[in-house]
Amino acid sequence: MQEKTPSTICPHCGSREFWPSRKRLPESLLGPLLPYRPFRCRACLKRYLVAKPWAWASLAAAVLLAAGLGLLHHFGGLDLPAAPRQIPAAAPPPEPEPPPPARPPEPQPVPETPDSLLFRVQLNIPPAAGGGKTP
Amino acid sequence: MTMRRLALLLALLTALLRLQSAQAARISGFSAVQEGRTMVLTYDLAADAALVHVDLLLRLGDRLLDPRDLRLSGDLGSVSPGPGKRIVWQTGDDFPGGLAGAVEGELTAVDLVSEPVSDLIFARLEGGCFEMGCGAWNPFCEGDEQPVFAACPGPFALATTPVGAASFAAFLNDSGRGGGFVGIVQTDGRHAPVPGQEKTPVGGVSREDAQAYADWLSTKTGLRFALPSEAEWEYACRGGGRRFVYGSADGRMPGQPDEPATAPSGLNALGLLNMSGGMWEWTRDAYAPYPRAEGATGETGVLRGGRLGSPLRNARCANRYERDPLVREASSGFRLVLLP
Repeated sequence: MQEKTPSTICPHCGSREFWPSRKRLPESLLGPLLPYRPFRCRACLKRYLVAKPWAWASLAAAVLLAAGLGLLHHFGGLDLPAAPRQIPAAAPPPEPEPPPPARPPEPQPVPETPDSLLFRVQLNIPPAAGGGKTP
Repeated sequence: MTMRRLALLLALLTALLRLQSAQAARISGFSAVQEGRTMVLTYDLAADAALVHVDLLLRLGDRLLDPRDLRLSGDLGSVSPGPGKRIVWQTGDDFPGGLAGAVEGELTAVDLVSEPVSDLIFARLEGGCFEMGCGAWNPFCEGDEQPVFAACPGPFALATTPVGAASFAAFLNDSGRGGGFVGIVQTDGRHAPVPGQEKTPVGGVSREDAQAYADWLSTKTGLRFALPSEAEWEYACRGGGRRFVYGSADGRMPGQPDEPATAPSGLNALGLLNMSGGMWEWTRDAYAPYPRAEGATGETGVLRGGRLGSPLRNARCANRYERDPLVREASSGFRLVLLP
């Protein structure tokens, strides 16, 4: 189901124009459990994340749970493994993708429609006495 | 008495049939000749409408000339139908170095229909099939504008300008609807356009507001007005489905895609004003991936056209901006279609 687009501003440039950014592979693996929505700013093209409404509640619950477990461990209530598991360092924020290089527009064919008339005329305009620039 | 009633009924039916079969503008008796250092085009114009938008595109080989850079005069722009129309191109002034060879051109005529309640003018368009989406003719494409697919919007008439502040204020007063809109002031419970901005496009409009206006105007006039579909809007922006990037006369706009739009696109080949770089315009369609399925639904809407100050790439005719239909942003307005 498509979510409603939240009203948000780009943290990099303050623009209110954005479009949803494509999810990266690790993000797409989480599916709807991903706690944020990625956006890309239409003005500065940088990617930024906006937390889903339930993400903060989940984070608070996780912190409380961790604190409770820590207290239990401190007072010997739980037989936890001696060596604490190392928490991997947070990954650096993703680099914004550069915009694709601009390609020159190709010649534009002009299709004939019922309300239009195509014509071709041979011209032979001699140079003006002074010459000059053309449009 | 019965015979008179029958005659009246027949006359009404005839008038109704004439309305139904209203012909688009027709160009005939065309000729293009060189007269000294100028090129003179003459044509006859037939139409049911009182006014027709006539546009001329000229090409030298693959190079499309921007009509705004050419010294063109005569029966161009809004033209009354009739015989003996004449356009003069001061070719020698535009090409002081001389010009020898073939010039190709396209003369386009679009019926203009005036609607007095909204003070809008509608351009009657063919709506033939075209390649919708962002193709290789664009300098820049976004994921949701691809793949390119065939779309056939069918006949419709699109307003040459977005809905103005005066007309929208009349709708607010009539419907009792409220809200803060750009270009409209409220005094003693009545809405009025900001003085001097009566025809300026109203801003700060949600899709829901725009649809309510279309319904109000339909009730007032007995005609069928709606927001344009994405296909109708893009067909019109691209000058009738041409491979144009922007909604300008020649499909181009000055500047790089990442630079802010500093001026709107002006009139395009169909007589539609500022389709690119003016303001974001609502469409009636839900935001759905391409190729669009018939009757695709979704909770978010689509804005088109970009706005002043926004990067130029947002003003491309193919660009789509997903937005909540209830959001009223200052840069959002709308134009209407008149459905057959």
